[in-house]
Amino acid sequence: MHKALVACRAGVGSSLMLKIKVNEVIREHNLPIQVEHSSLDGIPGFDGDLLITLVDVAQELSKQGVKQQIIGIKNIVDKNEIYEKLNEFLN
Amino acid sequence: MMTFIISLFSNPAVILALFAFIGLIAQKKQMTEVLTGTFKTLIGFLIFGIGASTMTTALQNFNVLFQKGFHITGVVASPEAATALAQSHYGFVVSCTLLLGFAMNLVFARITPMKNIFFTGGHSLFFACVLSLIIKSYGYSNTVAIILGGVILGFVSAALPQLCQPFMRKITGGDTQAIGHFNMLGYSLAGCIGLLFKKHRDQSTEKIKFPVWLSFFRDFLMGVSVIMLLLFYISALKAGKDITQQLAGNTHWLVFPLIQAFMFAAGMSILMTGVRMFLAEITAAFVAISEKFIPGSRPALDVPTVFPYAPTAVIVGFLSSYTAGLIGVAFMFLFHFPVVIIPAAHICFFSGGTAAVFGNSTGGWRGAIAGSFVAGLLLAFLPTVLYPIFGNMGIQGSTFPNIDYNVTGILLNSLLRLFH
Repeated sequence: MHKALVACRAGVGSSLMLKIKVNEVIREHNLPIQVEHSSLDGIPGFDGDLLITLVDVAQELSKQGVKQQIIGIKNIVDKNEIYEKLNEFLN
Repeated sequence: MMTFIISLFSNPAVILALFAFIGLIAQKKQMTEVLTGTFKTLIGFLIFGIGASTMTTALQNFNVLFQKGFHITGVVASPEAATALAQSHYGFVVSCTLLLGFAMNLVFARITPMKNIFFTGGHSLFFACVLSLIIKSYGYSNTVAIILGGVILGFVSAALPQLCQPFMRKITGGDTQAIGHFNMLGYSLAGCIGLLFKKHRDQSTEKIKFPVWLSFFRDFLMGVSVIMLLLFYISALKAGKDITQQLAGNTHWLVFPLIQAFMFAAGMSILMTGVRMFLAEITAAFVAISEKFIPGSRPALDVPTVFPYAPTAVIVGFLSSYTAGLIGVAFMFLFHFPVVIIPAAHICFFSGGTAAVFGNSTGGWRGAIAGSFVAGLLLAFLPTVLYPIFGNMGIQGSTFPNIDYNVTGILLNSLLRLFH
């Protein structure tokens, strides 16, 4: 089981929807991922192995040398995009 | 017994938790999930209240310093802080308006061609607060305020994203998502302003390189901290040692502004954590209901969802709209406005930034600068119209800058005055 954190800048608007969509994808495809939700401030205390966020935030985070693997989603309601990227991570 | 029931269900935290509970049952979740979701909603709302009172204390200190220093009322244009101020007195009306607003949004999306479901719950909360305050200022009962406010909130939630959709199609290259952020009148205006520079559309902001340190402001707590530090120190120095020391108590008068500025940011962080927690389950239920019962509905989402399409435009918009806000401050000082609206960095970042993404989509960097500048002026000047009403109701030192809140609020206020 992998543990993922969905996060965005303020951690209210966009990431909440992203979390709902990620959860839908996980349920539909039975992926071994468990999801939590917070703002970017939650990242340092997060002990899982995956971060899911928007593309532009992902680029910033990767520059900051975050220890988890990062997935950046461009269109947060596009479940195909989410599925592809989660699959890539799992493999 | 009756008083017990009234006391229980007039508590906004309980109402929201009850709503989350119903939503979770309707989604046929397991009992443990139902309990977790319900409790977290309740806890979230209480955390929101704790954040609100922390922010309020810091804001009141700022008010005193600013007023004594400059002999004028300084108002921080932050909807979080303004809602925080209203929360203790009007929490019940505001949360009921919020819930009815959600429901009416579904109704309007179902029966009209405006198929937008507004998911930025934090923004709906602030809007519910604006509407409640205006209606209550005319002395209407809670029931009237909730029904009227809820219907208006539901209508604008479905209708306003429609205005932005032509531009959203240009920005995202699809029609699956809408924007859900109550400056939509400003964003569509920015898109239209961009059209003036149609010829230069190809010269996008995304071809400009900006210094990396500017992205520091993307973290909204950093923006808030920097601005509040400046505001507190400027006011404290202007108010002088004696007045500041009186407020500071045992703290050194020059340490006091530092702690208060960060206290404000800390309060905001707590408040947003609470909002995130109490909205999580309600939003999930809202998503489930809309997907099931409203075919062809389109989610209207918070602004960071358009940032990936033009990240540089966001920085351009922040700078341009903040400049507009500062020009507004100078103007209000010079022309002796009764209040001075002080632009908040995080609002200019998210709202001005999005206006620039819209302007950029139609008129390149020129459209981005012009569009977000005009949005910045609206964010600065519109709140001066309604501030007297909010001020009379005890919302002092902070106000709601967002364009849609103010335009709708001004219309509603003129209408209510007619009937009064």
